[in-house]
Amino acid sequence: MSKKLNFLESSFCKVLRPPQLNLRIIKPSSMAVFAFVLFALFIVFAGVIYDLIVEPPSIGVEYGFGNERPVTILKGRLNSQYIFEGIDGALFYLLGSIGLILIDQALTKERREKYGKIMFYTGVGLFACSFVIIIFFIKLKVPGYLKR
Amino acid sequence: MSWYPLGRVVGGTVFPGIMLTAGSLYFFLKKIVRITVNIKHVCVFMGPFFASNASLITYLFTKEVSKDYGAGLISAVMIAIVPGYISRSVAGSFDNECIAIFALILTYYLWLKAVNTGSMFYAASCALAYLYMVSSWGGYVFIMNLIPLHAFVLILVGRYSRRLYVSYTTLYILGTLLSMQVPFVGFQAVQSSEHLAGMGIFGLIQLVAAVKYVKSILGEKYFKLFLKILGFIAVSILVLFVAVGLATGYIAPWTGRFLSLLDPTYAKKYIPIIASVSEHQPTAWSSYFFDLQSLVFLYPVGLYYCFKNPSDSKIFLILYAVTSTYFTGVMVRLMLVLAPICVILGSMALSNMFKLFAYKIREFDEEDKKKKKAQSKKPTNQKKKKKTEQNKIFNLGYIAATLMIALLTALFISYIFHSIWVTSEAYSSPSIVLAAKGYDGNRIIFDDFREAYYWLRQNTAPDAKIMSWWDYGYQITAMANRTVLVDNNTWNNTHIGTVGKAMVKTENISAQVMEQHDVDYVLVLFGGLIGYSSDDINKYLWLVRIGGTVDPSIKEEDYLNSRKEFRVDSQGAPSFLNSMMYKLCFYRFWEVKTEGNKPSGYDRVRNTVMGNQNYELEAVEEAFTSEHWIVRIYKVLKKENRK
Repeated sequence: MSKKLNFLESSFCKVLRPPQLNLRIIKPSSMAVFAFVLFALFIVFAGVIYDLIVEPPSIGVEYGFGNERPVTILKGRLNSQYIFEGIDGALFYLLGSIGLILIDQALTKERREKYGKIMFYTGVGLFACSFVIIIFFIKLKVPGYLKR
Repeated sequence: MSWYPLGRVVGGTVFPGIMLTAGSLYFFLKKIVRITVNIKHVCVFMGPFFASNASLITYLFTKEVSKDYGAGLISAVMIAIVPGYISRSVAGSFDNECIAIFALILTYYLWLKAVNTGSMFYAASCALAYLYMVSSWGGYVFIMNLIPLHAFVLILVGRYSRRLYVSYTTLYILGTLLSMQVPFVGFQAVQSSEHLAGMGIFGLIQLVAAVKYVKSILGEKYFKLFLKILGFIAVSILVLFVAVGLATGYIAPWTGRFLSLLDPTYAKKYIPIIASVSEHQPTAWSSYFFDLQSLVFLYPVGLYYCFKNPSDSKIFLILYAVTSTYFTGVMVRLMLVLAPICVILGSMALSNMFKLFAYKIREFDEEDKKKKKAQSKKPTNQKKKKKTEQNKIFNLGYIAATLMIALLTALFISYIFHSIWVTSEAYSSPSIVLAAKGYDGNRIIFDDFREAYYWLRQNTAPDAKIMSWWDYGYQITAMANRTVLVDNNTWNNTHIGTVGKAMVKTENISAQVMEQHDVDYVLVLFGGLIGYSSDDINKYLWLVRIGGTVDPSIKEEDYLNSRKEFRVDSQGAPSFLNSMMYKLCFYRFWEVKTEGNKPSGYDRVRNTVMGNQNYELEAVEEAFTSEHWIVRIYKVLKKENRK
């Protein structure tokens, strides 16, 4: 059996010479992959695909009193956006989630008490503020949000 | 009848699942339970019935993945009212998606059960659930690509086990055989590129199992040699197979709809019909919050918990989440597929956070009891412990923990209020009767569609043929009971392109096309009188693009004016102002005064006065205009005697 395999290998090596590879299998840690996934989520939530296809302007313009003023949020319609507005919205989605993740990290891992406190209160503040800001944005976009 | 004069093979172009389900429910109620119901009521209430089934299955799914009853209960409540799913499962919405999502979650639940237990019973049940999914919706391709991807990632990460081998092999063989029984799929299950991933991973998993078996027999030295030779042979066979298959055309490449998911700009350049459907538009950021509210915040937290303690099922959740988020970004209609996974991950996150704070409160209660016990006993000498430890878990106060639980409950309650508001305002209006609020707040009803369709039903010959844009095909076939040229099934793009060409060219060419297809009546929609913005003039550019796929002389630039704008007034492009659609929509509109301070013929949707006025129609004559001028029907005149 071994003679046959050796013969097979030597004949194979006469025809083709396998290259000398120094391959290392890269194993990233799970939190590194999670950070990458969060970044990909940011790109998708920002509506980058919408920007690629529909090609809206980056910010809107409002004319009044003889000058032009920039407008961030496209008012009135739900499924359209300016480029900047998409990035804004996705930023606040992500900040809210990171706030909740900070709360979890503060309460489950052992660390110095000062840092635990800072993480917890930052997390709560981030989440509460992001939620309120997103609701404010949505009220601009959808007239009559939460009204009969 | 529709698609005159071609006809359509209904058996081979339609998914039979929803009809079979409605029929079986009706049969079950009538013959076995002996309650007489109208089949119409069965069809109307199938959406909510299957949504409640989906809620039950989601409870089982979440409990299976997270081993946490609380998370299961929260997920069942959340999926019952999540707006992304409710939009497609309201009562009256009898479309494929209302049973498809139930079948999707059922298939995934049985797959995870099979992977976790390694039993062939669950794998075979998963194959049966997969058959149900294949017969319901074209989205079954998502399952057939996600499950192989999951198996592949498990092998890659080093979690290959006998359970995975048993479940995947059973599922692939039984599932493919069963899916080929559906006439629409047939041999596509082994031929088309969309199913190739499943076949590839099937081969790979056999290879991995064989290699592990051989490794247990051979020694270490010979195993490496064996691996080298085997790898070379396997890769060469695979390359040969794929190359021959693609070259001879036996393996079909990715078709239009699914290719536009992988390359979002493909549909815009090559297939305007797919790009024109408003559900196929990509998603803007606000639609995520509108359809999912607090779940957009809780969803990455659920992913974080999955990454923290990975297991086979949690890796599946991660893959499902990432792929469905990307596809939702491409098409807003696929928010339906994102909703279940958002609910599952969000409920896992919410339950874990609730537990964190609830345990803190319970600890305080236990400490109180311990202190009381210690006080009642004799005070013993206790050495003062030195404060040696600097690292400890942050000790949350009792009041803070209670406040956090109140905050999370408030979040949940706000989700409920939001879902109720969204469903009542956005997702529950019937699309055939329009309603608007008048100046003093009372509701005005526009019933023009039904008025026009019933006029057609009662005042035209039974074999009359109607030409209209494909959006109204199903409605005309059902309510007016007349033959149409094109309808919503959109399986034949060239026929739709011919109709588009007829609408977009001048009256002479349009009359020729209409004569070729024996058209008796033409139906157009016009919203200028009341401000209805989904009329045919707003869809005009899509007619141009789709007509341009059939007739290369139709170019979009011809219908825009010198400043590249699409205008309806005197500054509009001349080829637009003389086209058939313009003449049909605006005929006699110059006699109407719409607003007090504007001249007659003022279009309320485009906010300008109409451009081309006081013309005569030669090939058609006006037959019917509905009360608010929304639907206009014209009769095609016979040609005059030759001179």
